[in-house]
Amino acid sequence: MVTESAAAPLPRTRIRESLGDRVFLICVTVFLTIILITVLYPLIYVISSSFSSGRAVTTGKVWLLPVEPTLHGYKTAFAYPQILRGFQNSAIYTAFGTLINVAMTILIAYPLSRRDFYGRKVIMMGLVFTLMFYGGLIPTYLTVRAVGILNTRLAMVLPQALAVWQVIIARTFFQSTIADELVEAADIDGCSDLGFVWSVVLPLSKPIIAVLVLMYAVGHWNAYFDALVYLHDTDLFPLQIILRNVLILNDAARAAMRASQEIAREGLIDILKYAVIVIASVPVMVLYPFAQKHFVKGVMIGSLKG
Amino acid sequence: MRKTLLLTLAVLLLAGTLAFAAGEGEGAASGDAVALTMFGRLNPRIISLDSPENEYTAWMEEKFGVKIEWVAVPSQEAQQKQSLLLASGDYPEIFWSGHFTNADQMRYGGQGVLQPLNDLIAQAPDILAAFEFKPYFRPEITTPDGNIYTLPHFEECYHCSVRQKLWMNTTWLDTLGLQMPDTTEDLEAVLLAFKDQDPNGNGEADEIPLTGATGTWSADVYDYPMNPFIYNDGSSYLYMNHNKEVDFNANKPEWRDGLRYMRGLYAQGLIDPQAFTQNLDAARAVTNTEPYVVGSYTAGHNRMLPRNDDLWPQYRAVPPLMGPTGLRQTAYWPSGVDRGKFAITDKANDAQARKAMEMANWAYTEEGTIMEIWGIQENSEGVVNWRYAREGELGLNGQPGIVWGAPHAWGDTPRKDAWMMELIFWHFDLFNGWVADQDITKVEGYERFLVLESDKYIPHVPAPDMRVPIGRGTSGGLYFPEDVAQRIAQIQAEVQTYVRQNMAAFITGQKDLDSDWDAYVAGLDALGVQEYVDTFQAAMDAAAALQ
Repeated sequence: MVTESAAAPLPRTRIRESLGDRVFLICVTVFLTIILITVLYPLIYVISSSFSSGRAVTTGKVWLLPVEPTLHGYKTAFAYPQILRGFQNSAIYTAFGTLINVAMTILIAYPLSRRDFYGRKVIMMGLVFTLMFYGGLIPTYLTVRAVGILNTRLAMVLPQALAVWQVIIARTFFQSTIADELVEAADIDGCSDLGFVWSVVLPLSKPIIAVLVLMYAVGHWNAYFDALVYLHDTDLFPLQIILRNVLILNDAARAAMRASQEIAREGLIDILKYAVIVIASVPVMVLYPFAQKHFVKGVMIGSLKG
Repeated sequence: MRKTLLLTLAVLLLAGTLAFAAGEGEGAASGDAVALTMFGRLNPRIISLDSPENEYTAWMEEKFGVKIEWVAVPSQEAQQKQSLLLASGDYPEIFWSGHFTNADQMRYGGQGVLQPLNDLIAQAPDILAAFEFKPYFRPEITTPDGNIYTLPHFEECYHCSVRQKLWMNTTWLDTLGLQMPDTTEDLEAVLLAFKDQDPNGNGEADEIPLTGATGTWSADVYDYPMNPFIYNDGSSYLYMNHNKEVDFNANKPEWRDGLRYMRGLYAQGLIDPQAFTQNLDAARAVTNTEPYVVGSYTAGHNRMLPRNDDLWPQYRAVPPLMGPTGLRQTAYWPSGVDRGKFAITDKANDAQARKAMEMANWAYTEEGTIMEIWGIQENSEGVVNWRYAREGELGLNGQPGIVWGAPHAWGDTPRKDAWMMELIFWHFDLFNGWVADQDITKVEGYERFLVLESDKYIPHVPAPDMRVPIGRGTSGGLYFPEDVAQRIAQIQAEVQTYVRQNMAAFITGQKDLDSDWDAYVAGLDALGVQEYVDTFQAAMDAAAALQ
């Protein structure tokens, strides 16, 4: 029966989608459109609100486009020197943190991907162990203090120098793209291991580097907890801490206690809130399109064969 | 090749390290100033607490001969950071703006982490004067071992003490020729008229007679209408019964009568169904959209819902209603004691402890309190943040004022001439001496407006021996040992959720007040209501014995 149907000539008509297919396609389109709207609408709402007057936001007049357009929210936000300082700090933490992260990740992921690396299973288990067991907040804090980097910029980048998930993704990528023959060929030509990493592995690994950079950079940009725990010098605070602090100006319970305090700020808080969200999101949004094409490829490799 | 790579990496990492290390910097004590490390909440508007950038810090350092090194913590996270510092042993000498619940005070005090302040307070004249001026103050901050470990943010807010208010549109009352309601029956009649007689005059039956909001400040729609039947603070659900014993209200027949009354209102379409679920933002949007449709709403203060300048002055507070049994009362939160802020840890030596207490004593003076609230009087740029009242300027209570605060001090601009950490002694008299515009239809006169509206409620607060000392939510009031405090907090949280859900269910008719009532009461018993009541009674007896 199988041979028979395979041998039968196919009808030479234009390929028409069956009713079922069309219904399916329509459903998929509708479904994806709904998802698109759910994702896009809050984004548009936030952007519109940030350009609207505070009064329009509080009274619920803004739903899609800006109402009574104004830049007041942004002007107020940038009047806070803390926000600019936080922006700078976050940029520094993100740049140097990501540099350290990517360097560390590649330096451990590549050896782990080599079959002839002695003891790699033990090292890998050690790494995975840390995924499942965490020393706890206070011991970690004490360690950071003992190392002497408490309340310094280093506290923002060293404790998070390596993410084990990223190591696993990178290792899998190296295993599946860097053929053993390549290593042997380089070996025969007298290339050292480090030289091989630098001139062969890295150029072949752009997708995974893009993934690592993006993941780590977003992580650093959004980090606030480490700053909260390790920093107490206001000059060192990253943007996220400042933003959280500004946003809770609107804390309903406190504000209600002082009616006139609330009046002095009302409306403004609402637009300041949105302006500040936009300010904080712009860098990541700008970064994403550049990494996006590598991103899909890199993540797929990592996930499919990991 | 290899060397180049290594060198590149090394240089990059080294450069990074150097750049980061630059963040550190220690200011040693200059001259004979006493060096203090102080934990401070960083108000979002304060650019920096460090001197000389912060003028108030510089001023305080000069005044008291100290050199302050701040452990600055963003205010939202202060509690978390405080626990971390205390748990790791890495805490500063002084907490200027900590967050110590009653249980925290007993725990860290008992461990010796916090020093008892009693002896130092005995030499602090202004703190002693504050204790004398407000007799309830000292007992409320004395832990069961007789020691005082923290000094609180003390703020007596007149209108907040009777915050369970109902606000009604007086223009609508006038349009329909109605009086402000005086009894529960009156209220029903007025709401019915709002619903049926088109008071906003747009020809549509779009009026919402009564609404409210959840999850905010005393805006739950079912709390105010319960008080004509039985005392209800809407959070602890405790009251003093006729025997002057602590009792639980939400399982009493009177509570059921109250629910029956509200069920009646709801069944006639007088209570907004959204009121049980909507948050403040949603309620605000409905209220401020023209044509205006809200006839009355429950809220801690008027402008929580209406914001438009032409709208909010139309709403006035409905005085406490008289119930069918002749009961007329309002929930009351008289205490100004907020959570413990100031503490001296065991890391401070005698000289440091004395200096810190001198500063705390200053914070409790009138001028110190004013400066803590509004900042330095006139900053280096010539901006005046506050001044003493001039001849003829009136305070919130219509009497000659004490202090005038610049509106910008509470606005939105960044500052470096204040701390705004609120270690203050802001009692009723000082609060009411705050100079305000006497025109209560303008936003500038709003605090005055709230005082006047609150005057309608104050005569109906419970007598002093009929008040359960629940403090201000998380702290103040009674001291429980930590395990008991946790148990109480747990019961309270479960009871709150349960009571609120069931109030909504009974009022909206999802549950029947006759057939489902017994099961509801049994459910409350299962949550540990008896234990809850007994624990409060025991703690009250213990506190009374300590006096």
